[in-house]
Amino acid sequence: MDNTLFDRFAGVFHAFDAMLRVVREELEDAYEKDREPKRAIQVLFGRKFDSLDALLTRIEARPEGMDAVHRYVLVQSARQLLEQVRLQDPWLGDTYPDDWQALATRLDTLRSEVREELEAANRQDEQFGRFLDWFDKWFLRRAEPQHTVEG
Amino acid sequence: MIDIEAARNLLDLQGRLPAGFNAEDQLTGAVAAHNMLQRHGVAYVADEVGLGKTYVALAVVALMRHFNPGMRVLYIAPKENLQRKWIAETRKFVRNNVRFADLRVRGADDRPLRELVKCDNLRELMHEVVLDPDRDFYLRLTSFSIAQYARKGGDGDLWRAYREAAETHLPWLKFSLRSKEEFKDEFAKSLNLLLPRFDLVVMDEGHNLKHGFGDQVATRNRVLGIAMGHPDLSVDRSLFKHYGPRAGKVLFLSATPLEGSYAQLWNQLDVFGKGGAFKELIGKGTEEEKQEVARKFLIRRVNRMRVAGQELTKNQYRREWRAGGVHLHDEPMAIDNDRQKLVVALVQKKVSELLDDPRFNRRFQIGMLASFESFLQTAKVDPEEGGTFDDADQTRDDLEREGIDVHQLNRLARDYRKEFDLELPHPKMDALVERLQHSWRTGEKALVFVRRVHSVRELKNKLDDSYDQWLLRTLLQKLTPAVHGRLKREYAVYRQEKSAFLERQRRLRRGTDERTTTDADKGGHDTFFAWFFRGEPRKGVLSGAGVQQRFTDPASVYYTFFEDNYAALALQCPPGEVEERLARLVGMPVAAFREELRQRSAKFLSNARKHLRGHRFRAVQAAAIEWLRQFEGPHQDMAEAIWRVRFHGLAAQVRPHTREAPDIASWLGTRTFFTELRHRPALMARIWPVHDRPEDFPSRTSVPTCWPRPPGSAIP
Repeated sequence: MDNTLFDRFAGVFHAFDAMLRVVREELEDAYEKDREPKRAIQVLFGRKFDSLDALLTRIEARPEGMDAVHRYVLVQSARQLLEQVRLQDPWLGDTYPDDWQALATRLDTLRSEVREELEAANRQDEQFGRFLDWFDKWFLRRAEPQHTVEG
Repeated sequence: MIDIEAARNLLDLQGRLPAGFNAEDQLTGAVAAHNMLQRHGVAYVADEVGLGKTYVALAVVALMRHFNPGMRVLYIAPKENLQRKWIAETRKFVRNNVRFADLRVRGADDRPLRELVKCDNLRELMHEVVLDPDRDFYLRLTSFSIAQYARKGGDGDLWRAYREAAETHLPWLKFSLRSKEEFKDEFAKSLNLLLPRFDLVVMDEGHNLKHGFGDQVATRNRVLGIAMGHPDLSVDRSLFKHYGPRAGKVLFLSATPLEGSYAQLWNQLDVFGKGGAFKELIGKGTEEEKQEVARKFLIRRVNRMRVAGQELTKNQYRREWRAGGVHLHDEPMAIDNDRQKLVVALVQKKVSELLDDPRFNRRFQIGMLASFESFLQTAKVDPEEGGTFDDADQTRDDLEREGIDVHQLNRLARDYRKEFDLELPHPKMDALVERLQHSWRTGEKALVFVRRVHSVRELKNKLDDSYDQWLLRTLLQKLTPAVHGRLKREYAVYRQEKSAFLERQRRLRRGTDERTTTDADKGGHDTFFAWFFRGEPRKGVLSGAGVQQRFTDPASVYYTFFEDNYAALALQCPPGEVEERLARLVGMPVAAFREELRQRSAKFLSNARKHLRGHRFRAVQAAAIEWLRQFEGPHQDMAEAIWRVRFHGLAAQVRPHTREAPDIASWLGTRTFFTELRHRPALMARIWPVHDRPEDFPSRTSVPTCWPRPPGSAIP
């Protein structure tokens, strides 16, 4: 397999896992200490280099070397992240509804754009649209390990 | 120490060695390994596959035993089939390659003097060594995976059986089953107490131990190490007073003793507590220094092939493609297909999510993503196979051995198949399929080796799909557009039936572990071609199966096409003359003959209300032949032979038979493919060359006969 491709995806998922962990831990800690989860807010709604905003800006700029597949995977990872945070603690969305909504809309728009681009590039594959639906369904649903009973 | 000449006097390695083995190399290897064992207590025969490591090992045992008849040997094979093979090879070697009955190795009856004992598990080994330790024991490595065996049993019975075995022989010990890991250690220690000191342990496929002895490695390595008395283990001497080394010398065999690191070699020695003298293998020395150390105990010879007068080793005479691609040598795999890329991303994504579970400690079997192998699981961990992936022994965790991702990936793949009626895209496998699919145009053959059983099935399914697509394209190109619609409809029906069939097969496999159905044996769903020609005939479609049915259905007008007119064959005349000739032979007018034959044919027809065409033809032919065999003459032998082969027992088969047979009509004069062929000797010679025709009369009862009597020959 193309190692670059393999490494690239591994890096993407690792980065999003780390981001989700930071947000979760921050939310838990802030809740316990009754303080504002500044770090989580910064990651999701901030403008710094390590924020989601910085990543989305890069995706929107369509840099060379970041093909449509790569961008699609990034956008869907970000959408999954948002959904995970909302499921765990709706507090952020409830407290910052405008920021939350703006981010969600931006992600949906980006997803539609990249999806259109992918569909256009794969026009010869009649079922590509259906494939993307299938992909989305599985991608956004988080995998859980199957628990086995110790013998 | 021993020299070659002394060894040659004892062993005749020319004697019936398998093809391709070089006796002199075997002898040299055996002497070298023997002397290494004497010097260092350990030897490693790492000859390439096919050079006869087993024979070298058996020669070493024979040499050692000749000088030490009381020597105790333990053989450890990887799996049960190889365990049996070792026993068979031992017997053969002693009979064919030990020069004389020295009453040390070879008995007066040419059999091994020592009894050979196959043990199917460690409980059996305990029992057998207590009965008589002075025998040769053959074990398999998987027997040391106590945990897997116990789990396979599905309940605690096997654990209790192990405990009982140990407590029976060592009644002062009491074992708790609360902690399975502790129990395994305790059991291994008690096994150590019962084992005699083996003068030699022969460890086949030693590389299976390359992860060594430690807390995190597979159970089997640890249990084996403890049973052999590993020196690192702290033992309560009040309970295990005689715990200690049980492997005097160890002879390892493997064609792949290490993969990149000399530490793997040391790990293998260490399982038997033999690593102490070779610590440099895990030290900070250079590769050359470590190679020098390994040379003290390791022998490796390689296959050579003579090409254009030059002797080449395998690295020279074959070209390996290691860069990942399958189209151009040493080019990496290029993935241009977005579906494939996205599936790779999806699979990685799901694996990374699962890794988030703290139990997995962020480790996983990365190899599967980078290999040709199926994403899917092969099966639950099978102790005989050792796990779903190669190198499963690097961990003691069953879930990890199985591949933590298998359940999730199975669901993913199943859903993809359900949705798109295709196997989940897989970049390497798809590229391989693309490469292989040229073969149905070029006729080239390829041999593909894979590491996982499931990869075979998946590869086949992908090839079948690819073949179907190619066939459909080709048919649409070649056929008139008027039938395109019907062809596509039939193809759609086939795809539906195939999906349903595959799903049934999958369910069956899940439920009954690989049992196949008669459906599968027919192979009618493999490809559109097979479905059309071998599958069930379909109404309204003249498929290959439908055509075939026309020739085998007794109600069909074509049924007699591939039958024979046996009366014509016996009388050596055209079908149109049979009736007249037979009537003349029996001395009756034709009308009377017809009536008599009609009555005679009744016993070959059942009492069904309506008699099918094929059955009526058969009955008339049977009655004619039965009658004909009673008359002396040149036709009698042939009639008798036909009767025996074709019609004997028919009357019994159709009982109760009809009382009133229908008119014999024109069945005696029926022309068939074979009656016509007999009159076209040139054509017959082309489609059925003389050298292929059996000399004797056919023994097959269901196949019509057609060949003419060879000129001047007697009918048997």
